[in-house]
Amino acid sequence: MSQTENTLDHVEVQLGSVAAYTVGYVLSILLSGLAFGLVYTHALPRPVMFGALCGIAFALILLQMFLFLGLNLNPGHRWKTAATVFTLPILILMIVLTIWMFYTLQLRVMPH
Amino acid sequence: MAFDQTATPRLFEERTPDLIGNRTFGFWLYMLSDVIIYAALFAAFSVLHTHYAGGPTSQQVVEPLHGFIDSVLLFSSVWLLGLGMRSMAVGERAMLIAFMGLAAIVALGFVGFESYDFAHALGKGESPQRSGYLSIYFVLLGLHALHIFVGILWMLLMMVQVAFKGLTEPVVSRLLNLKIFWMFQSVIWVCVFVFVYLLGAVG
Repeated sequence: MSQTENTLDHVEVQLGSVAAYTVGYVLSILLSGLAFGLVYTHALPRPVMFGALCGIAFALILLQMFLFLGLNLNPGHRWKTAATVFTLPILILMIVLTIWMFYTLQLRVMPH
Repeated sequence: MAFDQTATPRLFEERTPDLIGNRTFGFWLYMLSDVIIYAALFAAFSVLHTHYAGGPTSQQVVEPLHGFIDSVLLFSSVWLLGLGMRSMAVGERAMLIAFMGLAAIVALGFVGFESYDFAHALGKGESPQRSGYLSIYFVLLGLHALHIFVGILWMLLMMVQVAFKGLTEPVVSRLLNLKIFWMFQSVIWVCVFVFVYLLGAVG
């Protein structure tokens, strides 16, 4: 039985709290509801809408990374955060360079 | 402050193997590679999302309300699993099993609703072969739905293990990996919801 108690004392087991999950849940529903409402009511002109939706997506991702996945800089979790931060440049390179490459390809090879 | 001669230098401290720490960190790295697979698909989506080839446009295919209902279902499932994990942290096995069961049922609703949308689209002739846009639409959403389906099977398996094996170190490390897996799927869904459903509806 003592093994179970030691196991449950582990820093990974104790990560997160009911409050963090509940706040994360409520804010996720509210922000995605806001994004849906903007699209459903056609509240904004197209370029502004694009910026607003990207902003909401960014906020939602950060919110869930901190409140659901529990990213932090405590010694027990530092390496998870470091690995995640070092993955970001790869993600940005993959997506942004692909968009850029195909955009300029379109400009260079398609007849205007 | 006096020098404490009894203190061992940290470098030579004997370390006990940290099973839970090693397994969750390894699984975390695995999930980051999973995120890179999704990033490749989103890169493809960013190129193909206007390639309709005379077929249906994104406004005709996606239903933003359905995306929002899916979001509410998935976030609810994540929240329920989070509550289950807190029950685990205080050793409440019955509550953990109950919350995992609820999370699995809600996630099943998510997969069911998405499958209904897929079947509806296929019924209208909007198959993956129709255009570049529909190919990436089905691959991206299909891969996410497959992840959710695997997560549901994983939850059922863990409910059995918690009931019969109890909260032993290997079982707890699997539960923590399940949590990491589930919460990463929620973050990925945010991108699917905003970029495929909402921006698809804006056009």
